[in-house]
Amino acid sequence: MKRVRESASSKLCGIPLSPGIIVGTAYQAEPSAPSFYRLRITHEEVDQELRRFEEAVAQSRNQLESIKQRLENLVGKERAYIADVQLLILEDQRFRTEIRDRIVRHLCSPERAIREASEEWLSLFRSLQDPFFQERGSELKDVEDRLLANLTEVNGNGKNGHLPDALILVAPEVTLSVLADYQLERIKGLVVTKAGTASHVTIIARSYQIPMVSGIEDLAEQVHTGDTVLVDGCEGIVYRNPSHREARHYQSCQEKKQRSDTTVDDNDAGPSTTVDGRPVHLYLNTETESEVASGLGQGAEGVGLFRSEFMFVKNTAAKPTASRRRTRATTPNALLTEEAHFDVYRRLALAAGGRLVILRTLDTGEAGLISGEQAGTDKASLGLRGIRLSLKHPEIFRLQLRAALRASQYGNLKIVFPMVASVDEMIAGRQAAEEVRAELQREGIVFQQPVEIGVMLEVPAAILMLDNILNYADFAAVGTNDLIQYTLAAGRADDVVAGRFSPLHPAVLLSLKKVAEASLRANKRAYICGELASDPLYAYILIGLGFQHLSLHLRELSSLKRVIRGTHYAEAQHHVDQLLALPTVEAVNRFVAENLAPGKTWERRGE
Amino acid sequence: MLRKVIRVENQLGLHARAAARLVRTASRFESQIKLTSLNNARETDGKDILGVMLLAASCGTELQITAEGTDEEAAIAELVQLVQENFQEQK
Repeated sequence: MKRVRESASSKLCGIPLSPGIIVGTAYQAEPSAPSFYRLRITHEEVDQELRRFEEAVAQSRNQLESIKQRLENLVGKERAYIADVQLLILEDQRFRTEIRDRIVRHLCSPERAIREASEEWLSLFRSLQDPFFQERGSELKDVEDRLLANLTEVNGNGKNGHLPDALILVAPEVTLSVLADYQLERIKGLVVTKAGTASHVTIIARSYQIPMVSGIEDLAEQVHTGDTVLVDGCEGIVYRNPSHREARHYQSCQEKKQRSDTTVDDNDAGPSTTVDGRPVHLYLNTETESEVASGLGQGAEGVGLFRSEFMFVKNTAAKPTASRRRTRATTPNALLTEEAHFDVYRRLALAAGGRLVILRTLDTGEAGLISGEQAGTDKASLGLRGIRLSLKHPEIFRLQLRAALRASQYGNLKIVFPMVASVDEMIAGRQAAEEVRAELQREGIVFQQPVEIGVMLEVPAAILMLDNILNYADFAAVGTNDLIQYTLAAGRADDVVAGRFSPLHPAVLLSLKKVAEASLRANKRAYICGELASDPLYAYILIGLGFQHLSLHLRELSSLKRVIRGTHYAEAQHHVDQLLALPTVEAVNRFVAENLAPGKTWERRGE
Repeated sequence: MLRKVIRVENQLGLHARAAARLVRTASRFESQIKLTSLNNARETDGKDILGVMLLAASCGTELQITAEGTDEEAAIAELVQLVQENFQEQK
């Protein structure tokens, strides 16, 4: 597997999706559709080829069974249906008969028989008008690819036998089934072309602390199986065959980081203050209540962002109880029972122990409801998602609001609507919440105080309408990633590579400035909930802009605390004022490089 | 032979997961199961996952279920219940 060619070192820049640094051996996930050349067989070969086909079926079945098993462990029974559908396709009698017929009667090679039979079905799927059902053909395509792969023995039995130890999986796109195909524990790093910050693979990579970088084009050309690669999931950089110098540099960075990580007292809760005494409050971004306790232990003052869409795809659905059957008629599927949501939200509120919990209502596109892919990927970024989706499907919205309002009795729960682009949507959303509140009151649930409802600021239109929107919001939360993406009309992988996705673009800074000022004027809190806050430089700028409430991933809490304690607020303000006066991205970058480079500001005092 | 028409009420219609559940249920019976979408007149064997997905039965589709065989009564009853319950997992 080792390549003979001694390749030169090269540096590839992408998007950091899951932090951590790892050096390992690249392994290209096999191309999903192997090519074959034998199209016809002879009469004498029929029996033997039929056997070969049946063996491939049996092998595929075993693989899918074990994928199903692993998926169940990974994402719950509900999500594992992907494997189940493919198993059923494999066993589909008509499909099987058509393939066998082609082999026996038309003397097709099994490879060709499979492809032709599959293609016939696929053309039927393509002819469907409903794009959602059209898309179901991809399940069949997956099965076809698996059968062909097993037949041509490209990835035959067990990928895990001959894999490198420090396995860095390299693939244009990694689906859940690819991830399950390899043993997750063996994957030490992930380098992909396409993946969103909220895709399932990213979430899994983060929870298993697998460094991950996406947005690297031409992977097949850039990285080969056997290459030594260094994956920097913090900066989004991949070094192919890193030089000793680069590797050493990273090693020492890592050691330094480990040292400093341990110098922060994990039990040190409460707000951190800047050098000149301005408090900055930290909160936790999470999709599971299990992280809340450790978050609180590391200084988070609550949950600044709970991503509820995970609820819609994960198997957390409790069995609906008889007493709540009244919601059944409008409940679309088992994942969406009010009781299941209530149960999770209540546990979340309890885990936070009276501290803030901001629950974001469903933030995904319509396809996300179905396939489980979440917002943040290219396809899902525009159109029907977030509050728009909720307003279009009042039954889902109502269910979620009921669950949230009921759970608010167990702690300090607030609700935030994502993707708001107009005042109208805030009004409609609030009205829905008010109706639910009145309904619950009629059912005997008395609210001590109204549940606060905030607006997620991520669509530029909402920034333009900010003062008006804040009249209908009790607080604001900025989704920085989406705000940048929509403001700059850039967010795709190639945008990042080309530098078009630029968090320090003057337009982004101006938008953030506007949020800080308007929320101050309206006397409403503004939370920063995006990934931006987790980068020391951006955090420094956010503090300088005046933000005092930052919400971020558990892992980033302690390092951000260090940044806050090393920051001089008045100085940061001054820096930001200078930044805001700069008209070009280039000038901003130069200013940052000259004045805000690591070691010049917060780190000086942070030690 | 038994026949019953029922409306698909779950939001996503007979999407992959629902289709899988339906096919698994149908396959437990010896009877021949036929599904017809009265909206687009497509028809399929209820034990055939590809056919069921190709019904493209979205929310609101009138679905006709036909069962013929020794256990047709039980088959119809269970399939109707499954659709009525919006394909909730049956324990």
